[in-house]
Amino acid sequence: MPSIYKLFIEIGRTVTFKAGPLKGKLGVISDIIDVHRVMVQGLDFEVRQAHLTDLELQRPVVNIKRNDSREDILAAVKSQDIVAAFEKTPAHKRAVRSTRRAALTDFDRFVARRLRKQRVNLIRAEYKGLAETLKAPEVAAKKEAEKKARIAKYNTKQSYKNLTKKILKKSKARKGAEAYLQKKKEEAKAAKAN
Amino acid sequence: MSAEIHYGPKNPITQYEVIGRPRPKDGHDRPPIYRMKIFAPNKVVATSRFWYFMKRNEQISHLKKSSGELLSVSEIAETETTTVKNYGIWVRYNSRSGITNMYKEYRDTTLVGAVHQMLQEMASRHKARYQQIHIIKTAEIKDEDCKRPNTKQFLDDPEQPDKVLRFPPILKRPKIEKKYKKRFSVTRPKLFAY
Repeated sequence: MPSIYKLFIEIGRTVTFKAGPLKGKLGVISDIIDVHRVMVQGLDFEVRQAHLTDLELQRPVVNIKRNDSREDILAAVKSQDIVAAFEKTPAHKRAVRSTRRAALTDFDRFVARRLRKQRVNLIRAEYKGLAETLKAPEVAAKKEAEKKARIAKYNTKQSYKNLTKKILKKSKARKGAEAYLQKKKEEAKAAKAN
Repeated sequence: MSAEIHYGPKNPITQYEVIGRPRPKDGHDRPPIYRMKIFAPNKVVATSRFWYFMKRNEQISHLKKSSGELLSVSEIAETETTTVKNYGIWVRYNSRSGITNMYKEYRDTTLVGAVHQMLQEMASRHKARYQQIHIIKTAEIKDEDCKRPNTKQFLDDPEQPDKVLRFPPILKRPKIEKKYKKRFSVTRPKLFAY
């Protein structure tokens, strides 16, 4: 049975800090103290103890051993292209976007909104142009020919008969409905007069 | 009598080295010097514990505060705080039904941290507070000498070298920054991860 857990706490797992001065910084779990605490070797900070509630587990896992030195871990991170792998993850992209968004001023947000609208307009125009090309003379002629062929297929005596039957049925029904409404109106008039 | 300063979150445990001796008298101008390592929240408690243990030590012929003097009280700083170690702690404590001896094991980066864990556990499991606990001995334990399953589960098993130590994050307590913390909440917290 496949596990419902995708990310595990293990030696070599990359993590980021959720809050505090190290918020968003990338580190590697270098040792496990107990169920709640691990040692985190940072790419740009020294090794430190961290509580698991402070950490966000990330996808890439570095191939290291317990008790590896800082140099070993940094070399492994470099040789295994961990930072590049981390930057591809959706979690990192989301974090980058949210930090950039958080740094914006009110005016910046206004500009972003305007730009977003412009982009939508551009896309819409492009789409409209595509629709226009479908109406170009050659395309239209082709469509017309297809339509005619379709009509010709049904343009037989039998189909005419069927069609007239259908129309008659409809007209009869309509006539019946009209008569009924007329009757109702007269009744209403008579009721008023009385 | 002034209020006693207790060990707690605001007064974390530290290790002190307390040195004292009997007060010199005529004919005894060079009395023996005694040194004790004591875990206490502060210097006041540390000296108090020093005299407490001295008084009940029969080998030192019941040295008391009234007949002795302190030479120095200093804090012992730990040098190695970036590697994870196993600590064994031998404890004797007064329960309601007598005196109990215990051996406990913890994984931590510092001895002080391990003692903190021990005090927390003794308080929670046995209702034994700081005042009732005597730390007889502490030692750093090698991986192969560990006895307790609680520490063993985080060590590499020499019999199963291929086994990878890993576990999923089961508890998911959201990390809330201090400014967003609130005293009351309408909804219950979601503590389980999945």
